[in-house]
Amino acid sequence: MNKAARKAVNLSVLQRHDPHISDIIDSSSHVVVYKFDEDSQTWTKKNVEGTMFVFKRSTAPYYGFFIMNRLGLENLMADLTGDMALQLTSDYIIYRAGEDIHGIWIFETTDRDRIAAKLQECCKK
Amino acid sequence: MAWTTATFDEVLDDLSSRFIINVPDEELASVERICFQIEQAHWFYEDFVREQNPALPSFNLKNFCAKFFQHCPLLHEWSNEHETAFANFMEYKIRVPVCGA
Repeated sequence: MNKAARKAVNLSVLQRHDPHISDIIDSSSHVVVYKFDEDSQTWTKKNVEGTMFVFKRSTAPYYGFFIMNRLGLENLMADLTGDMALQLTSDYIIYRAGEDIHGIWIFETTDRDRIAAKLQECCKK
Repeated sequence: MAWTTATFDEVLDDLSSRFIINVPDEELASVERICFQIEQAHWFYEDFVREQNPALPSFNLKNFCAKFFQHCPLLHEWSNEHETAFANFMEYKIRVPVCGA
């Protein structure tokens, strides 16, 4: 199964979650989402882990990411806009989601810098 | 995705994207690892998806694997050369009692 065929399956699956998704611009095979607990100042698992997709939409907001959860029905999706406050550390991609602070840990070390740069780039567009 | 109205083919597309085609290459390098991924997909299907949509058929792991291999081109190409090894692994899985089963 070549890259284009994989992408076609992934895109059609993502479009069932959001029909306005028009393209997948990057992905990483496995990421784990953590939530920052302000009281104890520690990270705890959010029970969301799986493949992360950075996507383009045909209407505003034009960019976002989607984490396809292997642990349950609840996936994680977020818009990438100028309002997104991203912070990149060597271990996590950190962002604020409403009241919560989320950290995304990327399993593939070779994907980390590229995905982080892609997210920043999408927020600026 | 609206699981309540999804067809079985749509569900298999979702599960192949979620559990098979995007995993790191080393996870698809051996029969045991592929079977492990399919087993995870089977749990997800029986525990979560069928709970949302009970009209979808229930499968034991062996039949679920067969459906998955049929549906997923990545495994389809692969299954021919490893058919025997796969059958042996499944036989082993079925013989060994699992907690709670």
